[in-house]
Amino acid sequence: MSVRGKCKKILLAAVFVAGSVCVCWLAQRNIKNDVERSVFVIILAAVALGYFLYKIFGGSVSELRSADNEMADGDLDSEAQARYVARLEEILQKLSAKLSSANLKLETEIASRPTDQRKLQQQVKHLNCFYGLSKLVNTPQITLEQILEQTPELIHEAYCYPDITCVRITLDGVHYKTDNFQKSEFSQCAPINVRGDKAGAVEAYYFGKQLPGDESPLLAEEQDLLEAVAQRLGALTERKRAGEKLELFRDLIDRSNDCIFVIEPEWGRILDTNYRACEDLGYTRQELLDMTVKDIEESIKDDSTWQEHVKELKLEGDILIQGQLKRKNATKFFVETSLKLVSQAKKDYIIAITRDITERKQAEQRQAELIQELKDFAYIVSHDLKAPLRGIKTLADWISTDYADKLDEQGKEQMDLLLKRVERMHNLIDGVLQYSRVGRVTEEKVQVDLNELIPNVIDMVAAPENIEITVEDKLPVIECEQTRIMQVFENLLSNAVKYMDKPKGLIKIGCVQEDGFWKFSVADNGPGIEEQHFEKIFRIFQTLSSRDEFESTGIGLTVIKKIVELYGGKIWLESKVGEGSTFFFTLPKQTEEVADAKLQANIAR
Amino acid sequence: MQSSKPILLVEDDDVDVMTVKRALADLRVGNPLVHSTNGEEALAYLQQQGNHKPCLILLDLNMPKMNGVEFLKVIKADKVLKTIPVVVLTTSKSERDVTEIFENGVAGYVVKPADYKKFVEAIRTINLYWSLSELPSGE
Repeated sequence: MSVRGKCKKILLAAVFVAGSVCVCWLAQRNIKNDVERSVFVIILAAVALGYFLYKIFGGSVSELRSADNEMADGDLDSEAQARYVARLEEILQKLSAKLSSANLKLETEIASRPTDQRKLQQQVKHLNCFYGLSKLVNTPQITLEQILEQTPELIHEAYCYPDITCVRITLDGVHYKTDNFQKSEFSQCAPINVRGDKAGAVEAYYFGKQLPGDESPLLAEEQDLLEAVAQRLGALTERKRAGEKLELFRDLIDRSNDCIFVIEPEWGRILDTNYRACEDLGYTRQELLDMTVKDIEESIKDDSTWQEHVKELKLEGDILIQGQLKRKNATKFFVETSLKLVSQAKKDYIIAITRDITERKQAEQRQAELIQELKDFAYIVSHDLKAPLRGIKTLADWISTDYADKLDEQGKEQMDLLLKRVERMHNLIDGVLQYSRVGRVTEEKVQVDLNELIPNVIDMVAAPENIEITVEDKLPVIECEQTRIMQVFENLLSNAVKYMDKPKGLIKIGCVQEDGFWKFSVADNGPGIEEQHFEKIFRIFQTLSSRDEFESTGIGLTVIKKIVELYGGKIWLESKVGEGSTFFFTLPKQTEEVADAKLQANIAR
Repeated sequence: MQSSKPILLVEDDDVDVMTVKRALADLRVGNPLVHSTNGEEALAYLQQQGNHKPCLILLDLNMPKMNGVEFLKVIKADKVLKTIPVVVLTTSKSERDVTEIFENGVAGYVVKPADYKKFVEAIRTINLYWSLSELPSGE
């Protein structure tokens, strides 16, 4: 021990003794009769004494330090040195024992705590990742691609070693990856399933050093995270794609050229509509959704009209109605609406698709005007052309009779030719009128027994004796306009008679039943018609021979064709040049409806 | 027909006028024939003081200026003139025309036959009928 240390000790002891004396003296003097306070002072003194004793003599640490100090002084003798070393060793042993036990305790503690903490840390990271993903998904107007682009970074952040981990998402062959992406032997992978099919995967790679003790750098929790994200992405893809499809569909409906409405059946409230309808009617969608069909459709004046339609709709499934839609500005346009009843989730809806038929209506009107013009034209032809013609005929007649004695043979022949031409002109005009009357002027339809009618027609035709007209089959009773059916047979027979070139002419009328039709035929053994003319002969004013040879207007077959077609039948012919021709025509057994519809359509014009 | 009274023919076609004249001559109908080429002219004749009122008017429908129907409407609205029988002589067979004409109070409607002989027959029938039928005794 150094001299300085000894002095310190002696000084400390002196201070202590002086203090004790001082305390006792003070106690003696001030608290003579106060036992409690005396005891307190004595205890205080004892504590102070104890502390000093410990400071001076006890405490291996301070001793060690002091020993060390003594060593540094270097003025110890060898014996003292040896003693000192032994003591140091003893102290060291004591300390290291203490240290190791404390260390052990600490290690146990540390060993148990991080498991929780690391778990906690990871969980926070995972939650962050999910939170980020949710935020991303809920960003307005974000596309699936944008989400997929940003997700790898989010996953990557959630990993234990983000700096040395990379992530890649693959969907339908397209990769979305973190900037640091590189493959390595440590990897995790979770499949992305869309509608039950594998559409892609989420992969994570750890590219740091191998951890000691073969421990995997990628945790089981991280695999869980990956799978959760993959599942989420799969569901999201499904939803987004369904949404896109729906949007596409909505777009399609909005862009449609027709107005489309979804209507509630009972009162006709409009439940939904497309852009086109808003555009065409001049309302906003919201305005339309507050309206009923009565407000926009002219033909539906009240609830009962609508309910009639619904009733019919429930029977038929879908119906077509024509009407007029009313715009917001009170103008109207013609429409044709197809109504269809659909059921969804046990509720009935009506889909109304409305097409603007203004153009069609205008065309129809124009057509009607044109037809009227044509009819007027036929009338004008009849009247204005016939009047001067009659004058010509009258004058020619008078010249022939009044000047018979003054005309020579040539003059008389020329007058004859003139009268014949006038007659032909007259027939042509009558033919045009006849043609225009078919379907325009109608008579009552009656039951006509052709077995009675045809002999009359044969009489009217008045065939010369060398031509025989026979009826080969029993003929049916048909409902028709008598004059029209007579016209058909008369024209066919008189044609056959007119063109007969054989010394013994045979004309046969036949009739067979076919599926829903009567097939009539008029066959002759006349000159026949070349096939190239089969179509031509039905055209108006078309004749195959010179008019001087056969007086013919070329209207007869055209009129027949018009009548037959008006009744819903067809007309055609078969022929062999030199052997004869057979004209066929059909009439439906139920001519009524067809003809009625056509006649109605004609009258309406 | 009362042979003293004239027949008024309202007709714009010269050949038709000739035809009627010739037919009347052929039938030896003695009444004088007064001819107007349109409704206006005919009205002027009828309203002219001193002119003999005709016993019969033969009326064409399609004429310039005032056509047959317009002429009919005017005279059927006139107290005096409406008693004169009017026979329409026309080329039109239209149902619409016939109805309208009878609504305006005509006595007959005859379609002009194209053939002269038939035309003469038509005029003969008209003459016969109006010889048989009493006529209102106008002035």
